[in-house]
Amino acid sequence: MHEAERGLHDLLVEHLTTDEQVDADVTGLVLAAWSGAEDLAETLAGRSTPAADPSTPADAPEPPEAYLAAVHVAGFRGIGEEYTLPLRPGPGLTLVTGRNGSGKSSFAEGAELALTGTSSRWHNRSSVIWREGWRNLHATGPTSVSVDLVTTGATGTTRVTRRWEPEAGLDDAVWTVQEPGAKRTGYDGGTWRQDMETYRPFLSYGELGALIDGKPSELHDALFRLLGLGPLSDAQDRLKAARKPLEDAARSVNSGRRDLRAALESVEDERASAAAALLKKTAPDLDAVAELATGSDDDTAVGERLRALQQVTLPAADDVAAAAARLRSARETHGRIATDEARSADETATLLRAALHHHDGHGDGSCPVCGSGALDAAWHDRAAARAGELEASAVALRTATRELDEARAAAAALVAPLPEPALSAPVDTDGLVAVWEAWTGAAGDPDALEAAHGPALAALESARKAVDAELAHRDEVWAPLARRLATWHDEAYAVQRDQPARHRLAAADAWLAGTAGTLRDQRLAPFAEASQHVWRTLRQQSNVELGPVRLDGKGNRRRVALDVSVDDAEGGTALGVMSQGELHALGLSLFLPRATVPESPFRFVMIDDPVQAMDPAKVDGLAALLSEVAQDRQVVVFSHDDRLADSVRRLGRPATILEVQRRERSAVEIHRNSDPVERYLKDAEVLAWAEEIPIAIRGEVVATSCRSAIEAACQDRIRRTRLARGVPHADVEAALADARTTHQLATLAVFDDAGRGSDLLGRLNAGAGRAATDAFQKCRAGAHTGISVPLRDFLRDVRRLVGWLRR
Amino acid sequence: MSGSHAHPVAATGAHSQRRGPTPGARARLDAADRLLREPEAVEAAVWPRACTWLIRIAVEHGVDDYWSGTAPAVARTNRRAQFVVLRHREPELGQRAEELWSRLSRAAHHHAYELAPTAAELRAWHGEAEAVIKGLAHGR
Repeated sequence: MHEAERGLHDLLVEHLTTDEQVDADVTGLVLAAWSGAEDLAETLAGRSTPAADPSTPADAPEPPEAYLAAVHVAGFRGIGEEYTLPLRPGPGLTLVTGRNGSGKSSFAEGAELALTGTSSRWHNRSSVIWREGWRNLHATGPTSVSVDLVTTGATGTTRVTRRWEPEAGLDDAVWTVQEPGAKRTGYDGGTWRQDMETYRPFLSYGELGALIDGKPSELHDALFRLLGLGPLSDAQDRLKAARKPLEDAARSVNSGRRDLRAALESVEDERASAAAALLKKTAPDLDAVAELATGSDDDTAVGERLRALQQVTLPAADDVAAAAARLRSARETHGRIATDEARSADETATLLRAALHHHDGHGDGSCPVCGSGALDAAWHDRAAARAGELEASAVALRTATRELDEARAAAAALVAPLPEPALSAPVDTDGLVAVWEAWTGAAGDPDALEAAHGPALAALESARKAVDAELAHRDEVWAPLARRLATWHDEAYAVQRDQPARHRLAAADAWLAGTAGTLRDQRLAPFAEASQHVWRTLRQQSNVELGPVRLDGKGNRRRVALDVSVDDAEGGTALGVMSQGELHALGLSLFLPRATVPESPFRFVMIDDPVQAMDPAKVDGLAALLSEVAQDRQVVVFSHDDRLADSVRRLGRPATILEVQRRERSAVEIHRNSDPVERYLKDAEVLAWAEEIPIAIRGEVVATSCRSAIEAACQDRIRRTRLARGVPHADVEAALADARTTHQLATLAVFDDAGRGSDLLGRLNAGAGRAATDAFQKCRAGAHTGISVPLRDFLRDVRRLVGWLRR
Repeated sequence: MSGSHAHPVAATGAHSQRRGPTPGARARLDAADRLLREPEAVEAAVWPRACTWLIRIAVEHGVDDYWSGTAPAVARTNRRAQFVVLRHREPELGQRAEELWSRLSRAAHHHAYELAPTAAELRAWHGEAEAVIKGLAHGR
């Protein structure tokens, strides 16, 4: 976690702990989501992790702060033999001036390439023209770019180098780093890789425009990281990712419920109807659903009727025949034995036995029953024999009767009525019922029994077939519905189980979504303020106002929104009507706050040619701004002309001003670029003694140089005087352009009035003295005619004149 | 600076007295060429501006010599007027000469925040000056 992220984390914890709407669940989930997907999963599972505890401090190592100590370039672009741009590590402003083609930008690009591994000049450019020709044609030695860095907490310099083999392509450099007192090792951008993108301390002219009209999402993303907003949106993404499967499942279960209910209602099956009724509710009784889905047809009334019919049986034909035969035989035997006598035999035998008992007790006598017969020994013998006969006959009849009863019962046992449920089974049973009546009615009659069995069997068989078909059909309709119902039940069950987690996640997500905007604004506020400060400093006379900088849009439409208005006209952005210079100023308004946030480990910014399209007023603003930034940052600015340097000198800001000069064959040299008046005077002195220039020519060159010194002094004076009076820059520059000759310039400088040319020499005489006035005249003519006095005297007089002009 | 010398006094030569195939221009072009090839011949950082001045002075000598051979009166007017007349007399050459002189003037005078030209620019101007001066000598 870097500085900015820690700041945001602290802010988030503060919001969580002070918001009364937030409970411990939401706090835990939000913090776990910030920490990572694993912590979020743990927290959702109900296990505690340190990340979900608001009292856990966020870790953020302090990165070392880096300043530039030098840029070395060899064989690269405009630079042939190795040359070093020396820089003083530490806060301060360094201007590196040099005409286009002098090689100054090679240092800027070299530094960027060495530290980032790429250069904005080539980045996103596919054109061969851009990707070739980066090697210097005049170089004989190796091709490499290096940057020397001084970092806090380390003594000595760290050198980061990109070196190319003779045939290597631009992207095939060997990238190395050498830390103080250590060996050179391979480098991949290290810990700075991300920071280089986030804080981007390099800005080239091309990029200056692109900051505004380039890919808006790139700046958006950079600002996002810069403000540490990445983890915030990551946390939001993680909450959404965790929510998604749960929400998807809940939605799918609900839509599955509606589909299933429609399908259930479209079939005629009481199980389906019952299920449809259950599914009418948004939260159906899942236990009842499970019972339905897993129950079989056995449990239904219709299924029971069908199965009752299916289970009806008939005895086998052999058994029917046997029963009929037995019954027939029992009836025949019984019919034969059951005479009247046989039926009364028992009674008669009992009577005889009682009379014999009476005779045994009372002896011979008359018959107590009829009174006329006699009971004697002969009677006794006859009666005893007769009683024996009668008793045997009674036994035979009882046996036959029992057999007949048993045969009848056996036949009746073969016959059973159709069970009640079977009669209402949903199949055609009319034929069966009729045949069955004959069958059941035939139980006592062996012939009828035998006759009814066949038709009953046939009718039963056909009824069974109908039942089988009906049962199969019912299965066909229900089974797939039952399976769907079972599947749906399992899903619905999981959704029900996960519902608390789903609701907690939704609450956390909603809270974070609502708070993220506030957090973003809070983080963005200092940046937006800094942007407006830069703009106000730069805009000078511009009538364009910069409103708050905003992060806008989502996904591919994300961008940094700038509210710019012209002449206080409300609404819309005025980007379309802004000049190139204003757009560049706006670009700097975004670049500088980004590159100089306190969190950046880079204490330097390197800007390549920001003044190209700027008017003089903006250049003054830029000089002031860069000086301000340079108070606690190392600011290195490359410039193709002297305007920024002039501004810095005129505003009296401390700065190191270097000038890059390019000789033939890409040999580059760097000199301190001092005040131009001084420089021309020094040039003149050097040339006055330059033996290599023929003496006849020297005077002309010296005079020309002195004239330039006088002109520079005059321009300096004119600018100071007029700008101090509040004359707009553009008017001052126009007046300077109108003053074509040295005489006109001097007139304007001395009188602040171009119309007093005829008074000039008199005023010079009176002010600077006769010798100085003579020198002034000699400068004008001598450029063509040479100088006729000793050059030392001439130079002395010129210095006096310049001193008076600058007084 | 070599202090062992006496005070240098540049030889004067009023251009009205000059005659012949622009020896003044030649000498100045040669001096410029030498500085371009050996920048260290003068003290550091002086060569780009010195070269510019030398080339410009060379062109002016070439123009002066042209007038002295063709229309001496014109030489007394200012330089811009001279180029107007030259364009009339020698349309193509006049155009080139004026363009080159303007560029050199812009670089030589302290104007418009120009920085010292690069060797490549100077070499191009030097070549153009050679051509223009040759043309002017031919036209006399």
